[in-house]
Amino acid sequence: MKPKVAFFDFASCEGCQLAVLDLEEELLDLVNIVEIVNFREAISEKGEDYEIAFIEGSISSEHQIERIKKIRKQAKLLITIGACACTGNMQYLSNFFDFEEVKEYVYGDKAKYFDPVQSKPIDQIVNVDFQIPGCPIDKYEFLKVVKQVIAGGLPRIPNYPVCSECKMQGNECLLKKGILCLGPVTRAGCGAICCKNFKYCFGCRGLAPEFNIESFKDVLRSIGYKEKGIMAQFKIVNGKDIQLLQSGGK
Amino acid sequence: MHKISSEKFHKVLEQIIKDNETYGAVKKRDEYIYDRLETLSDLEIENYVPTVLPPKKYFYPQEEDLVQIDYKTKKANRVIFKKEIVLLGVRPCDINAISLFDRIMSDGNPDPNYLERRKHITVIGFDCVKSCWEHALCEAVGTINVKEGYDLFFSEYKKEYVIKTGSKKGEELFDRYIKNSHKLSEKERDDYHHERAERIKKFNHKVKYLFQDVSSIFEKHYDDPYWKEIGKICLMCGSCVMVCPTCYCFTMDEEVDLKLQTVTRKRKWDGCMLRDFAMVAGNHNFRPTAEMRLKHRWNRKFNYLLKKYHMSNCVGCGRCGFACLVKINPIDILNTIMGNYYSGVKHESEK
Ligand code: SF4
Ligand code: SF4
Ligand code: SF4
Ligand code: SF4
Ligand code: SF4
Repeated sequence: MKPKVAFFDFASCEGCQLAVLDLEEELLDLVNIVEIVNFREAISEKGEDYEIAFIEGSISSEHQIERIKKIRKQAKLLITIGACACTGNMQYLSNFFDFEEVKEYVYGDKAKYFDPVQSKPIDQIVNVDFQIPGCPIDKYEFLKVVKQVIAGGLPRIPNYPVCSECKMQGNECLLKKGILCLGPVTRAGCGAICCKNFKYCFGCRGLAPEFNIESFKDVLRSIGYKEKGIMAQFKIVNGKDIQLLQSGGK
Repeated sequence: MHKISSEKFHKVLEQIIKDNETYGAVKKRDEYIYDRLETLSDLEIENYVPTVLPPKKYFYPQEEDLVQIDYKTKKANRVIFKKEIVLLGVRPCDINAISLFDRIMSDGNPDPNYLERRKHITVIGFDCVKSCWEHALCEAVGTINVKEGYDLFFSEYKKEYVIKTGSKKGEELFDRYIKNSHKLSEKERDDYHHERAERIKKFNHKVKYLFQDVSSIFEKHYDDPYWKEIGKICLMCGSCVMVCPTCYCFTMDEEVDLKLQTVTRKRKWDGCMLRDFAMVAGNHNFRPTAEMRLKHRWNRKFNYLLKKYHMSNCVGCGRCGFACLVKINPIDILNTIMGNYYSGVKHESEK
């Protein structure tokens, strides 16, 4: 029996679902090993008997909280895909402002017609079994995780920082040239694709399980960054973790 | 030992590149990488500084398939990737690293993937006439001289090139590409060795203490306070191990194909500076701190493996010191630990 799989999106740009659909060559083989019962971006059927749920996007309304709780009840395995679902991504920034002001800024005097909440990644609302990070996700990593789950193993993604992967690629280091890069504190798995193309890593795959934040801040200070600028960079994708870090929670 | 003119040297190299799939140091942006050579002008000869990654990637790739297992029958087949290639312009430090790899990979349980691939790789070395960069310590650790690990080796001598052959393959290459050359007389030989020794004297001498005592000092100063000091700033980023020509630690990974028919077991680079390397069941980690990992890594280089293979397992290229964002490097490590030993700085445990 092929496991039944569903995709659900919340507050996101749908780029991660598109990354999955971008697996053009592999897609046919993929549907031979799983049955997709719900995927708004790709099919019109809507099955509710799924076992594995892939969740894209963050939670930003009361209504979405109810919806994700319902999905959690049904799914044996709930896997978040992409930075929005995993770390909260930039919509998490609403947590750093007075929420009444945010609502007014976004909805003006129509705010009362909506039920927004401060944006949260999925794991702050329900239990998450596995996360595939990235903005967007790497389609091959997605495929790998699916195969690992189907084969009955525990999915594994790299636990080391982007720097290791960057060096494996033989890239010249941006930080060495005085260009900001969050590689030393960010989880690898993307093949250091940004640095490879001489763009800085903004940490879209979330913080690595292990890093040395104080020493890293010193490195950034040495290329001219001030505390505020450093924090602003971290908050782009990793606001939640930085908040936890500052409160001594991680 | 023979020598050829500079003109012939260039002609020979050009021909080698023409006839073979050849790789060498090529400038990328500001730094060098080992890459495919189309013509001799691609190759950096004079201003060489160590490439981002050493030529290790050709012998021991970042990721390689080892075994394929049929999902149903559970039958396993060995997979060996090999290709006939030439590495041109490999420097003494990297040649010593290759020679170390050759020994390590044939020791104990020989590694068939490495050894089989190795047979198909030709190493043509270039001597260094000057220190490549301030991070180098080849002179201190004794890797500026090469004994094995190469097929042909060119060394500049009075605007000409002295040639050494290091293997049967090297002799064949010599016959094929060089042949007519001047055989050095005994006097010329002595003069060459003398001149070479003189030029090495002008290399970096940043390591202040005699290297020969290093392993016993590292042993005695196992708890040197310096480990804690650099442990505090280390980012645990793994850059140092990834760029090192002698680091060979790996992890295993299995991947099943989409038809669920074959499982491929892969070997991938890993390193002792990274979290998962010493992680075991139950989330226990044998070396949870950067301090412990640094101590381990550098004792491997200058103590454990040095004793086992009777040569420094840091070949002094300086790549790690350059790559490290917090400037942890072998020159400072040697100077500090040995300095502390000679000046009687107490261990952590003695305080
Ligand atoms: S470019 Fe960024 S990821 Fe790459 S080594 Fe430098 S700091 Fe690390
Ligand atoms: S290099 Fe950094 S920003 Fe770029 S994809 Fe990887 S984790 Fe994301
Ligand atoms: S330890 Fe550093 S200097 Fe020594 S061989 Fe490795 S990269 Fe080169
Ligand atoms: S470290 Fe020494 S042997 Fe290696 S490239 Fe530099 S000067 Fe040459
Ligand atoms: S490169 Fe430097 S900071 Fe990174 S793990 Fe190695 S010693 Fe630590």
